[in-house]
Amino acid sequence: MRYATIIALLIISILLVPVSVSVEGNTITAENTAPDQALTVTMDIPLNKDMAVDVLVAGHSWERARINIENNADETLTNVYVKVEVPEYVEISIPTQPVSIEQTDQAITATIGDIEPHGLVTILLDVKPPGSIEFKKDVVFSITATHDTGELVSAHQVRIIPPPSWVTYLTILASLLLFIGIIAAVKRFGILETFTTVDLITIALIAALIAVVFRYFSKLVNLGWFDGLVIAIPTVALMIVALQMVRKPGTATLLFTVVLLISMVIWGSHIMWLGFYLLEGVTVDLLVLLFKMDYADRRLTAVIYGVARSATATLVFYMLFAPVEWKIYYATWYILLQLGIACSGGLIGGLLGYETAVKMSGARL
Amino acid sequence: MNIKKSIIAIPVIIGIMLVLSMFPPTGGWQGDGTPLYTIAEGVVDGGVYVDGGHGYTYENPYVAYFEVPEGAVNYARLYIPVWNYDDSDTMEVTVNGNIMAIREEPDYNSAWGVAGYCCNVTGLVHSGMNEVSVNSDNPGGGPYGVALVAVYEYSSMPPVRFWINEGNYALAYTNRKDTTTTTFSNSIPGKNATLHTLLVAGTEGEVDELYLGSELIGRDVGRSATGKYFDLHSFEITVKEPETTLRFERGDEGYIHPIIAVLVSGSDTDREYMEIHEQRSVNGNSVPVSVIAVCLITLAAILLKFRRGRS
Repeated sequence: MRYATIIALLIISILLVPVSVSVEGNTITAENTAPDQALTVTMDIPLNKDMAVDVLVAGHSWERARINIENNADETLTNVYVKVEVPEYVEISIPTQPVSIEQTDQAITATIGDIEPHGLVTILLDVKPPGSIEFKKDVVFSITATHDTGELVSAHQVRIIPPPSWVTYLTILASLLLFIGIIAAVKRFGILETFTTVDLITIALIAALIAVVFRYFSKLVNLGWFDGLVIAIPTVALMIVALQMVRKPGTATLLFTVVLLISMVIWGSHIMWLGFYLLEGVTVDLLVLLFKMDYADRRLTAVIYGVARSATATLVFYMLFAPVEWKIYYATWYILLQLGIACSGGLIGGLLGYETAVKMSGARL
Repeated sequence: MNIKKSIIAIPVIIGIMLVLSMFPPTGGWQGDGTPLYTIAEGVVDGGVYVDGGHGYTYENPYVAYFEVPEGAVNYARLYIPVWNYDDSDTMEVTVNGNIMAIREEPDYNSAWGVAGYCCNVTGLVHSGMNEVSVNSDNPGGGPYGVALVAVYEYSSMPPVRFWINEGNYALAYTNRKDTTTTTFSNSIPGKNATLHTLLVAGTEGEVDELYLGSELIGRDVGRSATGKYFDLHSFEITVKEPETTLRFERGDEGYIHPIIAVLVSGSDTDREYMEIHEQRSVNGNSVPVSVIAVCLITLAAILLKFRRGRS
């Protein structure tokens, strides 16, 4: 019963994170100022549906936008013109495209001509948000589409978010504090002394398997959305094996730290991932403490550790590193999807790791 | 930790790190890549169209339009650099509604998955508006952009001499490659020329340099100016040497990949010709030594354990 409560709380808290910090808002507004139902005007930015809709991060490079003009009527619309007033905060560039477009400062005029019944014409724009802004800002693209028999005025709202610099600084600070804390704890409680030479070699070997072999194999297959499972399942399974074989506090943290060190040497991974790797390990080690030094000795704890590790890795990646490093906000649904996939990978890896560890029990080097 | 443990553990850990560091990242994954070399050159009464865009936007399909000037397109080549290429990724390219064969292997691969696809689209591209659509199956990756180089003939235009150089070379801090050069042979000193360069993975503020011979012609060329991590730039230059050498210096850039360099200059002859050189093959992928080494060490450890277990 107690475990069930813990698991339930864990799952709820994991799922609440991406929803609670979602950057997406109800940003599309369309005001039909004339009784013209013949046209529909929509705007897509960014074009990748995995990304948060209508959100740009300041400091990001060019992003492509598409304005779709659709004729809903059964008759051809003639002499269609579209005027777009671009907010002053963003820079625009007009790429080569079939539609003839003229640009005057922050306004563009597209001469479309005729649109066939139920036909669709698209206008492409390259949009660059400002290098930096102090606070998040909602800007509006005013789109006016006219034709011989009517006019449609619509407004499309886009949210510009400051580069999450405070998150960057906080992350660096948290990573450093975490690292210093770990070093202090290691020294204060003599944690490293509890590791035998064989323990250290076991950890180094398992870390090398994760960082070198399975990472390499993960590059050989393409499972689409499920691609992350290729590395997640063996990582969790080997982590469980390491926990059971070494059985020392701090095993997971040490394991993932060594994984990063090897990744840096072999694949050129950046030191900025230190916090990412440390957090995975610290999460699992804290759970080991929470479960009274249960080193994945039961199926249930193995699964909990696996799911917790995968959820931590996914959330940190999509909610911290993507916006900070690549200035990308993923859509909430996509983060939740990846979270679900990662958790299922953690579950499979946990079960697999438990079975492997049980078979290897007594097989400590 | 007691002294005895330290004496054993520290050399073992240092030893493992040293063994691993013996396998540099350059040979570990996709390699350094292919330095730019001349794939086509010649003289044409007309010009060479070079255009492209629009950065790593994650869209799929990735659509680009090209408005080729009036004239007959004698030779056209499409360049699609992509990020995060993995084995088993595929790409389908459609040019003006014509679906080309699905591509599985890129033409040039380097670093950690920066790959370059090149498609000969002669006959598919025409003067006027052209639509190129790229559908890629590449989880976590996709095109940096699409660039078209088209040699077109228009008899009322003066002859031009051109060189189309292509490749994909990783200039990165991790493989310790800081510079790469490419040459345009038999160039004509004194002629005005236009140089087009395409680089990917460049970052604004990380200053790289571009030299023509010993002359600096560009700083921070790779700055995501024409799209995210995509830089297609043109330079008006004067040819000074009979063999023009273009040098890319990484400078502060973490990573930067020259993909194409096209030189178009005035010609000293009216005789039209075109020479297509053989494409340099990509080195075949092999299992990195580090992967084999770790597998062997693990196997040895397991065998050792079971042997001890029996005894």
